Amino acid sequence: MAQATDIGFTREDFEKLLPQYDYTFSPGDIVEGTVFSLEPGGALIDIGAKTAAYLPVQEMSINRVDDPRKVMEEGEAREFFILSDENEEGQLTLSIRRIEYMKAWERVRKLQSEDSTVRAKIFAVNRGGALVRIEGLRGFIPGSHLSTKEPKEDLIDQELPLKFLEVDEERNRLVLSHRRALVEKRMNRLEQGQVVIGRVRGIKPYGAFIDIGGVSGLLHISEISHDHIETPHSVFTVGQEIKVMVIDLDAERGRISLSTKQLEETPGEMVQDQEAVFANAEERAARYREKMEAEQQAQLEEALVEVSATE
Amino acid sequence: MTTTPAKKYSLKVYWSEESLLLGVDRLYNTSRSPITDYFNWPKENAWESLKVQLEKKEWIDQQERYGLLQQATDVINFWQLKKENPSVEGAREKFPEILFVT
Repeated sequence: MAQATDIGFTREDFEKLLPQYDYTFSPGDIVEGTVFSLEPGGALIDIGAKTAAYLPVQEMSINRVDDPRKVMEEGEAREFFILSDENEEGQLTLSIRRIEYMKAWERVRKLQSEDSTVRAKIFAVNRGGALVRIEGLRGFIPGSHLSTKEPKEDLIDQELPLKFLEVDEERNRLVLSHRRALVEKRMNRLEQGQVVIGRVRGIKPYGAFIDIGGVSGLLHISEISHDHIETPHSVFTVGQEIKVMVIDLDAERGRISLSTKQLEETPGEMVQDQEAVFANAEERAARYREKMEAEQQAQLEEALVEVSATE
Repeated sequence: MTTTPAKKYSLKVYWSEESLLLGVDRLYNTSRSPITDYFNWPKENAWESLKVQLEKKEWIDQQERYGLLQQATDVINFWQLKKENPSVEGAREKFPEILFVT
């Protein structure tokens, strides 16, 4: 018979130590587990805890899931987020949705930092704008950033190119612009000093909106003519086809600034004889570009003189 | 008789002339869910970063992990053949299992 030797460690000591080495699961942890049973309302997951953990169907994905069998199968291994502590039965609640949320925000931040254009289908519209899903997250396009002639209701199910305006996980804000995506596309083919044909889309007290190949540019009232103008209505009518010169492209804000003033030979020509302005627009724009280049050159030389003077 | 298990994961690629953004999604019947971040090629060596993230996910079948990385290599090589002016249409045709976004 074996003699019990004193090892300086009693059975009681051992029992006291055990709980310290019991692996504990805390809410917020991400653990690996295996699906071992699917039920209509959820799934039982083995994550190595004493009792199987529960994954409710609502927590299975960032997307809506009606039937657990559509998104997982028995025996499948993957990672899970621990949503809540053990209940009275010692069961933990798990989530995949949380993991997907974190990933989705991470991805969207990346897309924004790359200034990528994304495509998404509009699934709902409201008074303020339109709603889309980007990487499973709900995004909002304010009405002022929707660039389309159709009524908003007809946009449902349409896929639009979009750029990011705001990505803020903490405030759960994902704001996108359709206008910026279109303007960027168009801007790649536009340059300052270029004359384009456009159609007057709308007239406001501060200027006229001109449609140039699907995007809208602003012809500010101060850029219509060298003469003072009371209202753009006295010069243009909605639907009129005109020629305008691009004077500024702001890709950041998605704005195209236009001018007819710079195409005038004599102050007030836009009011008295628009036809003459449009007929000679290209050659006048060429002169404008030469003038701009000369000015830029002069500025550069001035700056260089200043630099050498300070040396 | 052995059957090949259905592919559970797929690459998603944002395609532009300047760069690629690569990420891996989990595939479901009608939807996809994000598995990895997006990584830029060539700015941040997307291939290596993707490999590191995928390797941490030991629950993804090893064969499938290798397959995804091989596809990433192929698509990067295809994109880099600038002389031949690769288009996203060409890429879609060549890699039907990858989702390309422009």
